[in-house]
Amino acid sequence: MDTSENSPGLVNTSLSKLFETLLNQAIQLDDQQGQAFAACDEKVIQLTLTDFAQTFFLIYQIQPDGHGIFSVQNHLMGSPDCHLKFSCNDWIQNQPAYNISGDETVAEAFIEAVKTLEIDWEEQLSKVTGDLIAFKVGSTVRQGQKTSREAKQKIGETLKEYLQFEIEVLPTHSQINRFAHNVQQTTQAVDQLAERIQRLQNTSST
Amino acid sequence: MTTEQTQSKKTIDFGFSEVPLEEKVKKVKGVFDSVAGNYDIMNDVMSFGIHRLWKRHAIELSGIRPGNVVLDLAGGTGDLTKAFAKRVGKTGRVVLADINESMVRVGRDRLTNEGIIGNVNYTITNAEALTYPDNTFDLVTISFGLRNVTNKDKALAEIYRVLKPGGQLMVLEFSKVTQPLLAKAYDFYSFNILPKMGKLIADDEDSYQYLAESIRMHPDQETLKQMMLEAGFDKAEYLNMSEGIVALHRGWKY
Repeated sequence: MDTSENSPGLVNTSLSKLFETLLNQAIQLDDQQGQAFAACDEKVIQLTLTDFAQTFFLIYQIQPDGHGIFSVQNHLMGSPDCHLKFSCNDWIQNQPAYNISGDETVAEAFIEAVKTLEIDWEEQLSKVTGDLIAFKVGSTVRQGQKTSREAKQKIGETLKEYLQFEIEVLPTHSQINRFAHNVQQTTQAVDQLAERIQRLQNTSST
Repeated sequence: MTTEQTQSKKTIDFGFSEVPLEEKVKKVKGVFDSVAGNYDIMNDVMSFGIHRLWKRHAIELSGIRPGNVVLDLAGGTGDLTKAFAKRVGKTGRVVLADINESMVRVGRDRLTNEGIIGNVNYTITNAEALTYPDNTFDLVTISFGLRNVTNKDKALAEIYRVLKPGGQLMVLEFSKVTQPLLAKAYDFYSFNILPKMGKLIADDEDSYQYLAESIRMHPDQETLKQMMLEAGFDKAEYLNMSEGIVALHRGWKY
């Protein structure tokens, strides 16, 4: 039986087609042609994007010519091999937290394969624009990424110093450690005292 | 009067005209022999490419998965077979069946050229007399083909027979437009522009005139749903697409 709950409209159908095209395009452009997905052959992976409550079923098949392709659909007869839930927001921020159910081996193989997808954009761009322009665009993008990384780091450090030392609303790492150590000592002392009181009470009652 | 004579007296619609029952198969064959070579390009031109989205939607709703066995009746040039073959994988199988040899040849050549091999079988089959055992298929589809079948009730009963319990039939077919204004524009397009396009692109005005007429003679959404239930399906429902220009009927065998 069909495990999906709602009939998808033409918009959902178009979305799954778009997702399928993007995924297969990424595999085609990957240095390894998506070989890392081989462990997912003939498996059905259900992906749920928690932010949009959107579900896709991904079916990976290695074709007779050896290349693998994904088919993406909104419905499925029966149950998937594994179910991955994650938030797009976390994924964009590079901190994805996956909720996995079903066959964990397949799910983990899929996640690892996605991580290994590496597209050489500069090489692809050079086919359209030529090497010189592609190199310039590539250098600019790399420089931009470096500047953005440095700026992010600098802003983070400045904000930390301001909050910890200027207006003193946040403790430093060592202050937290000291506090935690003191709490631990106090807990131990209280436990010892409680134990001693218990012993005294037992002695007086006998 | 002998049974044979009674049979020859019976007539059935062929577009807007009536023909003897046994003539329809030959006439439909003639139409599709004529259009087979230009079938794909004509579909794109006639529907402005939307037929791809209708078919894609049907594939979506099928929920097909690796290992499934699919019968694509009236499979023609293999649009649905191609998509199903990619999904059922090495452990599944898709049978492209069509009553018209020319269409099967075009479909087989096209899919083979696209590398779709190994899990697809091709067969010339009459939907009214399927040569498969009971409970064989997980899914049977008939896309833009049921209206050309002479005895639809018999075909639906045969499909029901070959479906596995839990299996599903999907009928994608032109149907009755639900929006009155669009219906008028659609009629004008079908009877005035479509045959002329057929003449221009495929040099075959008559076949495209027949296609337009056969769409009008095809049972509407509710009638077809009722026919499916009468053929034995345990559940039937339909989904209108593009205001009912096309309807997707789904029937289940439990």
